[in-house]
Amino acid sequence: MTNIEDKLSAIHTSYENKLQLKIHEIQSLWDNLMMNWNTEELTKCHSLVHTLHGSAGTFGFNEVSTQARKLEIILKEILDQDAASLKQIEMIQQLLVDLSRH
Amino acid sequence: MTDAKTLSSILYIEDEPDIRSIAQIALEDLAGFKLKICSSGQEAISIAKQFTPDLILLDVMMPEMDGPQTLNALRKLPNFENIPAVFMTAKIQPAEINQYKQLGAVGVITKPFDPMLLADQLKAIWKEVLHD
Repeated sequence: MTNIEDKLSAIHTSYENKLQLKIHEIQSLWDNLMMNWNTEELTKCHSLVHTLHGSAGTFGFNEVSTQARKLEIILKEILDQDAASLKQIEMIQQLLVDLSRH
Repeated sequence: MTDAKTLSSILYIEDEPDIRSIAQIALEDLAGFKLKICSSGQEAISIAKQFTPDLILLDVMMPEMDGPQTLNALRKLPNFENIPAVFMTAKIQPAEINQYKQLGAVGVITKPFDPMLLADQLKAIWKEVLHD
C-alpha cells in the first residue's frame, strides 16, 4: 500500500505544480479572446475549463473545480448564443481572478 | 458478456493525461484490473484489434473523436458489439445521462470522481449488468 500511497502523493504533487499553469493558459486564452474574438478559440477555452473542472475535483482541489464549473457554464452559454453580454464577460473575469488566487 | 464472471479487464479511453494517471493507479494498482489505456478514440480502435476487455470505460468530451463516436466505432468491431460501456463525464444533467445510456452505455460516472471509489463504482455497474 505504501507504494500506492507514494504514487498517489507524487501524482497529486505533480498536478498541484501544474495547476497554476493550467489556470494561466485559460486566462491567456480569454485575454486573447477579448482582443480578437473567434469561436474556435472560445471552444478551446471552454474545453480547457471543462477539463479543469473534472481534473481539479478529482485531485481534491474542490474550490478550483467549483469555480471552473461556473466558468464552464457561462462559456457554454456564450458558445450557444454566439455572443457574450457585458454581464457574462464581467462574471468570467471575476471567476478568472478567483481562480488565479489558487 | 453478461455471464456470471468477475470484472477483470478494462479498456479505458481518456484524453486528459492527469486523469489517466490517477485512474490508472485507482484501477490497476488499487483494484488489480488488467487495464489498457488509450488517449484517443483512434488509439482505442487500434488497440481493440488485440485486446477484448470485459468493460469499456471512456470519457465523453475528447477532441477529434468524442466518447459516443468512439463507442459507435468500437461497436462495429468483432467481439465489441455487446461489451458493456461506461461513460465518464462532467455533464451531469439527467437528460444527458439518459442520452448516453441510449447510445449503449450501461452506466455513467460523473467527474470529478473519487479515485479511491472508482473501482467500486465500476464493480457496482458490472453487478447491475450481470443482473439485467
